[in-house]
Amino acid sequence: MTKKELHPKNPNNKYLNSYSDAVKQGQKIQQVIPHHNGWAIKKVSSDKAFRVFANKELAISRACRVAKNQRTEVLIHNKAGKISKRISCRTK
Amino acid sequence: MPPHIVSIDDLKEKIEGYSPEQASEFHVESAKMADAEFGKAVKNHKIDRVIFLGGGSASGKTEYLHTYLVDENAIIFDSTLSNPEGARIKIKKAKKYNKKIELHFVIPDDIKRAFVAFLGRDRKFNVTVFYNTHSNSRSTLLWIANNYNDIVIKILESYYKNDKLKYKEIELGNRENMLEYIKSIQYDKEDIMMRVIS
Repeated sequence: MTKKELHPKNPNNKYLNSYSDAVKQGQKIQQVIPHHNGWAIKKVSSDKAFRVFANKELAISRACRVAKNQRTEVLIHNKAGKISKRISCRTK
Repeated sequence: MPPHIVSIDDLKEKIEGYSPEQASEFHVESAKMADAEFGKAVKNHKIDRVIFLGGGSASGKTEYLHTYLVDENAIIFDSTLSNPEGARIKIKKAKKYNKKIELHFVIPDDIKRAFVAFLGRDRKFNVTVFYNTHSNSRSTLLWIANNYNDIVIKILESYYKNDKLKYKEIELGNRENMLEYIKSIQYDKEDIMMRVIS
């Protein structure tokens, strides 16, 4: 198997730019994840928890506040670590 | 001559009341519109090629199309190709009108990056759409590779470097090697989910 680099015929198109914007926007998304001390919030792009809360509701509330400020969303995980909900927090 | 692009996502924008935040609610209707448009397009005898794009959500198919296929005289069907039955029907239609058929399949080198792009783009879908399309499109690819020796298959790897999406073509030499490779990239929905959240 070999991998051959492809040279773009149309390198500066709006679709490539939109994809880059989507990656940047996606990296800001907040996650509420299970943590050994309760529930943590962290950015999708980060490996490290930003803050840990004793209960899930507090973690969601704080993640929503951050998400609202950054015009992004929150992914809420369940105890098994799976994503159970995706919320925009706009109405919270 | 520019291609005749049939895009399920572009067609959503033509539906009254469409908003990207509710994109999933418009998917069934736009898929039907795309099928109808494809059915008309294959009757055009001035175009003798059909290129099906395939690959999971946010793997970079549309970006590949507008970066590399801009001057192809072909009908290009831009979808994930997650449904083998849908693929079978469209292949049958293309064959009926003697089109040469190609499948260009895009695989992200880093599935987490594709997931981040999926989450960050304007069109909003439930995360299960990501798991399903990345799993099902791969099984459709395998099914096509097994059943249609006459369809030219190109496998592209998308990668993200210096804030830009780029592509490599994966060259496998012959069909046998390609089949082995395609078998090696089959994941079920749970596998995709675990890769994304790990």
